[in-house]
Amino acid sequence: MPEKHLTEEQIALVAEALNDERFEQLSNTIREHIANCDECSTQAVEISEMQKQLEMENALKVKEEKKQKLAQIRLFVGAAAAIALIVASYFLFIKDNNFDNSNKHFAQDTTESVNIQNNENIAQLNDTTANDTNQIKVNNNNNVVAEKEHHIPETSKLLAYNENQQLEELYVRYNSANMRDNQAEILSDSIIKIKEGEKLTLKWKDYFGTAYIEIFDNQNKQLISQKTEESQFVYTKNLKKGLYYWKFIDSDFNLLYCGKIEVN
Amino acid sequence: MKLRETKKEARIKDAEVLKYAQIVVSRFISKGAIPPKEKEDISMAVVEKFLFKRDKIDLAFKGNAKYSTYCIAVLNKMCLEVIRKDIKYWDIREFEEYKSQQNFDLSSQNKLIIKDEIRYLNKILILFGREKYKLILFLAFYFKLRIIDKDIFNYHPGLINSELKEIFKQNQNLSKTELFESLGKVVNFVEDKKIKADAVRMWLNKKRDLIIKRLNSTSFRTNYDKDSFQTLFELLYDERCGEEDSLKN
Repeated sequence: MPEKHLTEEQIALVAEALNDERFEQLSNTIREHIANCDECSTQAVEISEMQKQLEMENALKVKEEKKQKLAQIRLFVGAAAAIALIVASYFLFIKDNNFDNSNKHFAQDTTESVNIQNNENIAQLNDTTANDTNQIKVNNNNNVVAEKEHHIPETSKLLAYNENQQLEELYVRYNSANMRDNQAEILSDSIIKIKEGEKLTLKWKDYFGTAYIEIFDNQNKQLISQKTEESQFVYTKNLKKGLYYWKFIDSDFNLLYCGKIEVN
Repeated sequence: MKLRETKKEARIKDAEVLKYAQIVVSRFISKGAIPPKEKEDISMAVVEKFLFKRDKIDLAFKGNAKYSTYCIAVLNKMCLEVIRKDIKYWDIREFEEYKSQQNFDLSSQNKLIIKDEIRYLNKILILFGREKYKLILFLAFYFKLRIIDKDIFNYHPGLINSELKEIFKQNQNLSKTELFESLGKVVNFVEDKKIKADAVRMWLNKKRDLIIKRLNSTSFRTNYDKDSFQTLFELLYDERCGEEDSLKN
């Protein structure tokens, strides 16, 4: 048996080499000694077993720690998700209800004020209509269907210039393409601007036959509907300040054109 | 630089000295070298000894192996010293009592023990270096086991394509004398010697006894003899054959 044994570190080296299956990579000195020394070889085997046990325990510890960490992360994510859900619910349901409610109030208020004003207009218009005399004017060559004179109350001046959605759509349609087919050419401006008290003249050409001229206020109330076979129409009645629309209709009651009138 | 690194590592590992000491002491207890009731006392004694000599231990560490393995090796040596010193004070009956208290489940526990023993034997064989291949082949041949080509090749690649390869396939029905005569032919071919069968027998017996001694050296629990060693070796070789067959498939 050799006189000098391996050091603790050399034995540790052999132990690690045994576990890593690289005993052949150790130095010749160590390998030769180990092959011939019972004490060192036995110690090396024992320590390799203990080192293996330690590595297994450490690996298990790391695994447990990872597991715990994962559990903590899951808990955190779960809690965060729950909080996010609560906050989202608050904004979606609770706050939205409040918003809707406040909007409703706002909408109601606005609608009510509009309704009040509209009702006033209508009431005043009705009053005017009732008070004023209905005049049916008959031209020599024209049949006037009906005519009503009305006054726009001072308090709703601005409303008098509001566009009427339905008539506006017609206006836009007939002014993007000037005339359907080539039935007539409107000579008047698309928006005829006249002063209050000034007479209104509507002109066209290249139309043959009977036509109907209709004028509406911006509430889509018909002011006049007149049959004509001429190439112009003159409205002599005093139009109050506001926005009006006129229609050019052929003998088959097809709408050929819609224009605007602004009375300032 | 290295000393500073070692000391830094030592400061980190200081808390784990007790843990390592307990691993070492537990192993000696499981081997029957220390009575179980002495575990705490011996663990503390070993830790105290280690910390007392900490500076010298750190100075001796060159950084070639892992520090944890080095600490275990140091603690192992210290534990052996404690055993040598205190064994005369321990009652042998405590060992017997401990053995009788061990309740081994024949199925799972024994399988685990056998697996550990096979691994232990394998490591002892590895420590024989290049001689390992000769040992394994000759022991398998002597115990009349089915020889795998890998072991023939590992001993000497030239044997695979030689006529002597057939010798290894015919060990089942040979007598002991014929076995050693065959092995003699193989040794003379491979190692270019002129030895007789008797020399091979003496060499093989010597190596077998050495293996048995190393198996039993730190263990009071195991007490291998020739027969039990043969059983253990057969189990080890069976594993090798299993690995070889699975590779072929």
